[in-house]
Amino acid sequence: MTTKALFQAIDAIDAHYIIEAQEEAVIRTHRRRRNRRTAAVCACFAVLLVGALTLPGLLHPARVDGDGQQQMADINYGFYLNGLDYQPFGAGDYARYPVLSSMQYSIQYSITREQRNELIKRMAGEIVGTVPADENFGPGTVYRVAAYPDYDSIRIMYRDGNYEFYVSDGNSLYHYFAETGDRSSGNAFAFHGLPESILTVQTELIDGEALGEENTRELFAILSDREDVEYAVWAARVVALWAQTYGTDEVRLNERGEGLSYDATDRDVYERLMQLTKPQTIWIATDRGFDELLICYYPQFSMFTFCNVMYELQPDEVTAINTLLDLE
Amino acid sequence: MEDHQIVTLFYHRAEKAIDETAKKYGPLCRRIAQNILENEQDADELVNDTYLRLWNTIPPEQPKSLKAYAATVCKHLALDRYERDHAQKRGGGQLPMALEELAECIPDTASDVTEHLALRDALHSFLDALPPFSRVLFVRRYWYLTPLDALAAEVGMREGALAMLMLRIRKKLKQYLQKEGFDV
Repeated sequence: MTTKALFQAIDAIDAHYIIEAQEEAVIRTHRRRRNRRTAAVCACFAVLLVGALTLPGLLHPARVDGDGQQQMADINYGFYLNGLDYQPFGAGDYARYPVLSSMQYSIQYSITREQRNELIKRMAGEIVGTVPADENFGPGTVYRVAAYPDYDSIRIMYRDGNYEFYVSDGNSLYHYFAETGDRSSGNAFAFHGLPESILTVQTELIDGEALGEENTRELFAILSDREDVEYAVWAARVVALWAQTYGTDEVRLNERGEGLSYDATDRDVYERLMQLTKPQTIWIATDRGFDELLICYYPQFSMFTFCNVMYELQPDEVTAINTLLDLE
Repeated sequence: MEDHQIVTLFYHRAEKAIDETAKKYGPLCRRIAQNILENEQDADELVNDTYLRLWNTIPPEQPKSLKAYAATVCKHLALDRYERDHAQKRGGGQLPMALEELAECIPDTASDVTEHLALRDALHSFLDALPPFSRVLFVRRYWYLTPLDALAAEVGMREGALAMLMLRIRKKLKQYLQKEGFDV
């Protein structure tokens, strides 16, 4: 084996390792555990000095990881507010927000906690909410970051005498689904404040005309209150339409009956399938600070998707939507 | 925008696909290119080449993870350019340094490369057994070719401490490969 062979083997590792390596959550978890371990050690010294408490009473239950290192039980240092999960800033998060990047150096150059609090406090904007106390922490007050008033992804929280930055990796619609137990389209729309939060709705991929306000409301009235369906329903309809259109089984259900099976190397089959399954894309810009939302409308299957969830429509609803969108 | 939505744009040959890819993964690709190549201009050109390669390969490619696909395409293009530009000499970029570090795991003796898949599978097992933080460090250093000082800043460690941790990980890899019967 050569070094180059090892390097080439590393280069060929599965995609999920490559993706995981970019996830800051792993880094943040490690930093929380390391900080908690450090805090526990400091607390132990304090105990020895005052001689008041026993060591086991201070330490949280420990686990042993693959390295044989003891790790402290997980504590959630983050919070959940207005539909978003927030976690403390990691080292890489400062670089994403240039105004805040100077704060990173405060870690390396060891300004005092009081100095850091004062710096962050000055960067706080309006209050956006509060976080209740839990078994580990007191109540918190959450602020916008004044330099980034339109960013829902970052916040400052004041809790237990300290100000800190927090970041969210994105909207937590699935957290909302789990909390409410409701995956209906109406609930998904409500999470994003639709249709009230809409700025524009466009039905073309490139610079199309915006849908008017009245038609927008009517569209969402039709699309709401749909229960989610499995992807297998869509797949079955694709197979049926293919058979009806081309009279062959070149596209069929896979062995599990939940997806499509076809020869991906056959360019002709592939292009016909893409054409058959092409959605009418509906772009939605909102005032919520999220990226543009997308509805993929499949009139040929009487279905639509929103945020990766699939919903069914009735034939008369398809007719009504086609009229609203001016589709033939 | 979700990856599958961007891939849909590629399918429909909408140029917005490139804009959305650049917005979402441009910084990542630029970082990968800069880690391998010597200067920023080359890295910028390479990122544009990456977008062109994505445009020409999707479809028929249907990447489940556009992030991993774009990163892999960018890295391979960068490595090709690096080998082309440095056919006669070494130096520049993170590639030589990373190869030197990996040589600690195995001596760079001449041997036939016949074990690629077996070695990759062994690497998967090794990575699975690592704690998540160590695994992330390994991949960021030896797949993304992140410089040690930048990696230390990313994870909030002192560079010296990180170097020691990487050394321990490499020793573990060497022991693991020996145990699995690879010629080290």
